[in-house]
Amino acid sequence: MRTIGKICFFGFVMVAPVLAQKLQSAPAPAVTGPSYNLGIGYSYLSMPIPGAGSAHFNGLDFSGSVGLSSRWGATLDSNYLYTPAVLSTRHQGYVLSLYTGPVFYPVAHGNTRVFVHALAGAALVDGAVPILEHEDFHGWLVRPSYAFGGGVERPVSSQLGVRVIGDYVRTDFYDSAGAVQPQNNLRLTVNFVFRLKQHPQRSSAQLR
Amino acid sequence: MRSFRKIVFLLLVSATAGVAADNPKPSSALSFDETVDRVVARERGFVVTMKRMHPLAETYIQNLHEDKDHNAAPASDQYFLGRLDLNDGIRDATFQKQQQGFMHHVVNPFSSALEYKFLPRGFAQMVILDADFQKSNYRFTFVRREFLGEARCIVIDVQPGKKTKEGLFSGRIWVEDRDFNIVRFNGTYSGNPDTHYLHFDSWRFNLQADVWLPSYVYVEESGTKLNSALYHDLYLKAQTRLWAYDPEQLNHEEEFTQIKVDNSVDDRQVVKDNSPLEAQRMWERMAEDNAVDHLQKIGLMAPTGGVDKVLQTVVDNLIITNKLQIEPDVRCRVLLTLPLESFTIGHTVVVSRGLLDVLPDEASLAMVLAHELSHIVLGHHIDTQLAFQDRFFFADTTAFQHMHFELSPADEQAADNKAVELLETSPYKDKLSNAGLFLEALHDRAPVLTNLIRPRLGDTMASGNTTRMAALLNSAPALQKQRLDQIAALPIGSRIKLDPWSNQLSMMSAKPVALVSASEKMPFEVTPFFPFLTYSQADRKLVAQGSVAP
Repeated sequence: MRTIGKICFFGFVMVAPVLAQKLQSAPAPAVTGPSYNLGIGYSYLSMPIPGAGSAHFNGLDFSGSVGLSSRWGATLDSNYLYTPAVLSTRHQGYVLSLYTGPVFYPVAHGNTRVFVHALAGAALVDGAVPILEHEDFHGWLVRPSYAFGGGVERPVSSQLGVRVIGDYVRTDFYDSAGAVQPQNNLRLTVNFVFRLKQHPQRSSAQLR
Repeated sequence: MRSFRKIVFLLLVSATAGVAADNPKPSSALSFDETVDRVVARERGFVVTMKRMHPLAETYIQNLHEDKDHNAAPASDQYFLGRLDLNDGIRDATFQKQQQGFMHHVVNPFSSALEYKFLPRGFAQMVILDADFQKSNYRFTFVRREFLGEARCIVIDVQPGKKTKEGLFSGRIWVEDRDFNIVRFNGTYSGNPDTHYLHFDSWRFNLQADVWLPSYVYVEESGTKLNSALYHDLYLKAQTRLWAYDPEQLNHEEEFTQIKVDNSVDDRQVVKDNSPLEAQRMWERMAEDNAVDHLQKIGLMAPTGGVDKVLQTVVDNLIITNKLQIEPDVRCRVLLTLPLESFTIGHTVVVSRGLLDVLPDEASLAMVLAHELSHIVLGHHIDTQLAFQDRFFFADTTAFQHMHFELSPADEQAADNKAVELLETSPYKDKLSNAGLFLEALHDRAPVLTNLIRPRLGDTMASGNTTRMAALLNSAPALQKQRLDQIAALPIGSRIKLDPWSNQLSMMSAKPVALVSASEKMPFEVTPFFPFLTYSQADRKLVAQGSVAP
């Protein structure tokens, strides 16, 4: 899985400039500057447990992002995802994560923008692993973690937008033998995005 | 060689314009759809033509602040000068006074994350409506016919079609109905909210037969302010001017066969030997000529012309009334750039176009020229290293780094004192309060218009708490911004007209207009453009020939 992660990362690095070059046919903007967004929404995470199926977590997503140019931005993303019972165990579980990283917008159509991101940070995984039929192991682990993915965002008004994100999230947790093993999770997030910066108004005030 | 280039250029223009010209038909006989076809074909030809052009593009931006009475005034400014290159997308090589070092990029890699940053190429971009203008991408709506100066125009609203890419023009175009060239377009580019496409009004001039080229762009953005630090708004006015189009001038080559004979005299009747003093003067004059020629060659200085003569008249008034004997003669030239500056290159007095634009009267002009004349009278010498031609072997865009004519503060102070003496015995002695008023206005705006007032080549007019010729401030009345009859300084672009093809300057012939309110005084401010469009002389001849044909 590490290899897949590396391939994804290099793919991202290689494809981003090519797409950016393709998009340069659009006129150059005269101003570049920050745009600040705050996002809050719902996240779902599917966490495979080796030999025991997948655990399903639901929870909240908080994010903040800054647009550095029309194509590039950076984001800080935090999740709290919870499940009342991890698989067949009687233990609840949660994942608390914090990531940051660059966001690239390769395609824009009207006001709708497609983006990809590569995030890195840390995740606290509190969970349980079934060992025998009526026995399980539970605990928590904090480890570095990362996420790759992308999504679509579209404003619904000048201040509010909707963002749908799907990504691969890499975390670590114990296996039934007590050894730390990587986990390859899939995460789906739907966010409401609040624009903190108002983009230029169109002829709303007199100059003199 | 020169003729060959001219032929190539004309062929290029004819070829690109050919699509529309192949089937000449009076505009009134064309359907709207056919008219649009011709406009699109012309515009595509225009883009090809522009790729061969490398004019200078100067952008001056004033960020505005609105006070509680809803009066907007400049709060800060920004200035760019660059050479435009449309090959491979919009690029511009920017003239910089100082090279930004490695540490600048290390310390400040994401400056745009914290503040707005203006991009010169984004302003230069506004000379192009659409680099790949296609009829299928737009919806065209006929509005009316209207005259812009001499040019009778068809006015058309242009909007991006549904499901088209971002970055398409959205606004109004004016098409002259003789050859279907777009002569003005006004609007913005469509984009997502994070792409800051500004609203602009772009004008083209008929600079050569059948060639309309971008000359002026006015930009304006305004928005309501929200009382939160998290909210940002763009609130600005900007002007972009383009000049130095003439491809022959830009090739920087003299005719191989051309022989330049300056100051030629019949040497049979004069002494052939030069004294050491004469040799020194000739050496200094050579340095002066080299510098002036180079500035003209790279498009920063206007060729000699009518405006120089106006300056020369004022200088002569000062020289004659003060009984000065100056050898060699004092000459006057105009720098084509906006920043307010004046300086001397040897015995050549140079004043910037921007400074001439904002001076309210002849006495204020005399004040500027008297200061420079004083440098000459006091013998503040030119750097004679400029007599060596290899000193000019540098990229045009580094001219501000290689050529500097500023003098020491001590020399400046001495020139100030001497200039007051010269003015006291000149025809301008009774009008010096006006000049003082101009300096007061300059002093008032200097803290916010730093880029307008910062010199690129010469001496500063004002800096911090010091203002040139400060002695005149004492004789000036108090600056009263609300008084309609007190004009301390004019808006930018008030006096000088620039021919973007030849770089020739002329005085504007606008009629005086009475002010309605104090807000119309607009000292040192950017205003919209509204030029009177004319057809080039060559086009007029073509029309005249056409009109007598059976």
